[in-house]
Amino acid sequence: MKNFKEKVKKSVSGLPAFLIFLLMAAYFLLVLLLLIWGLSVSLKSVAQFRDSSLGFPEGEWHFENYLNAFKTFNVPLHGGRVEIGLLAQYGYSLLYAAGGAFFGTLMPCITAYVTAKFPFRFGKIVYAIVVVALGFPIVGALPSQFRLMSFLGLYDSFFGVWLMQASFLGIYFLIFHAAYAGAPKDIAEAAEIDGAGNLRIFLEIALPLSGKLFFTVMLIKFIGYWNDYQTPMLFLPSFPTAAYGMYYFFFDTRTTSAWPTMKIAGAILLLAPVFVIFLCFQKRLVGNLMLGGIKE
Amino acid sequence: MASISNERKGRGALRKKRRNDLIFYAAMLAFPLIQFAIFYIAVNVNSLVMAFERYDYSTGETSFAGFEQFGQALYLLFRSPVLSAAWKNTLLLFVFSLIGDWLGVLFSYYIAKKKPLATLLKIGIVLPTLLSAIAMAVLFKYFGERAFPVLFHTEGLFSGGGVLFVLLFYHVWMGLGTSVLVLTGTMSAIPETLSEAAKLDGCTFMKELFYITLPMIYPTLVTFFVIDIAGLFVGQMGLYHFFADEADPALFTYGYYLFRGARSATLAEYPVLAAMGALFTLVTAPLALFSKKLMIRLGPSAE
Repeated sequence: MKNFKEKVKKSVSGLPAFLIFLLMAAYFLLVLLLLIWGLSVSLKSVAQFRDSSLGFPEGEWHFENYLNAFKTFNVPLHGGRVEIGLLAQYGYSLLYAAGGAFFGTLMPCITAYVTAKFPFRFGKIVYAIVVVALGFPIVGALPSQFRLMSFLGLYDSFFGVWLMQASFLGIYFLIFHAAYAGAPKDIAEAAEIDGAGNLRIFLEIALPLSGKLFFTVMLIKFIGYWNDYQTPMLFLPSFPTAAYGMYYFFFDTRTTSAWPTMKIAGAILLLAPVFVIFLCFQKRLVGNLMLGGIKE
Repeated sequence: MASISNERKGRGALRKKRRNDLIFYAAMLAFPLIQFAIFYIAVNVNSLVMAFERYDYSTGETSFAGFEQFGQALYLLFRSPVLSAAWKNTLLLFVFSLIGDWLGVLFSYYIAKKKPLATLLKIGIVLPTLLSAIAMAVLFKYFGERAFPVLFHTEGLFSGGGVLFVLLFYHVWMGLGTSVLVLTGTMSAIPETLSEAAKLDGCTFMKELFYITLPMIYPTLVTFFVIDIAGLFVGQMGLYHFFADEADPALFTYGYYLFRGARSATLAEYPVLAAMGALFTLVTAPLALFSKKLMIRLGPSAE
């Protein structure tokens, strides 16, 4: 009887965990289903897709959809006088994402380092600015941003967008701050005794020590910018990225590229590089990030 | 005498070190602060100034308009049929964001407790956040329109009356990754000894969540809540991914309206958008700050 009671107790306490597991599994399966479905459609001809929207194609697999998508996914500029091909779009994506991710990671890293390591009162003000800006929403500043970027001659330039993204505000400042505030001081102190200056300590000790975190944040930002189509659409109209290209083709009604199979092949082409990055750096990308710490 | 000289030398060295530290400190902060001054302070001050301006097409000049743009913005917010459903949709989006946060907490707790298949499930949850929103939207829209009706013998997800809830579901479904990444990290930092002691005291899986984990990660939860409030009038509910500029007004959120407006507005229309943004800021900023203070005051102690 006692054994039975214990068994019941154990299974009840395991029930919530099981329910959470079911929810998570359903979530995961839906993602997987969507991706596999997309892959299957991207290999169909329009007729095959019309006949059956489920399953992999019966008969011939149309790998040429990818080649056709690659050839036809051109974004017209200047009233159609210039067309930007997918390869150039990938190039623009790479420039936009790499620059944005680098400067967008470096700034919170540097700012967090100096405010966490030096006991000047101004550091507390900087920390407060970040916290307040996180919770103090300023809405509708896009028109003003346009005006300012144009005024500074930064509109429609990669340099301008990188500058815009080189902000220390946001949760990554807090993550870097938590990392630097909690890092052991003895190595830096030993280096200081050996005569190392502040810049050397930062470059040769602090930065390598937080290298994994820096790389992870940069990777997450890179992927975010690679996928971002709204900023390039607004601020880089002459440099359509691959994500913007996908947006353009999603709503395009021209004959060939309007085919669902082509659009889905295009979507897979856009997802592929991120998939490769994810497979290569999976551990780093799903590793642990801490925000603001826990209660003492 | 020697000791006084040594003391002076020591003080001099300290002063030199402090001066060097200060130079380094200022040099490192210079660029971030200039960037902040231009792209945050100047942009937002300019936005506020713009809200009091009027643009004249014939002369191409701007002039002071008093509260004219605010009146126009209020008219749009309360009288315009285009925005009649936006307040309800914006609130629903906020509620669903909170539901998403709670799902994130539950999922992260499962992962942090290293339950069966935790790592694989974590990958599955983080993955959609990393994939292109527009590419996923393409797949989801075609799946919803073409495969879903065949699978369930019903109408397409984007053709019936339930589009709003499809979008809300999609918003939660695709947005869990970041919160799970941060929450699992924070939960993993809770000392193992606490959990072991709780288990010895007969604490169940859920009791441990409510009595140990949640109080310990409370500061992070407060941050998440404040970010949700801060994003109240910015959230687009994925409308731009699925419909570009052509979404049905019945689905509008204020965030979508502002973004769509900023993309397609003329110079004369910018001031009214800036005024609307200022009005939203006037609502959300105190709300976010007040909620944060209240949550911290009412929050659990980790004792």
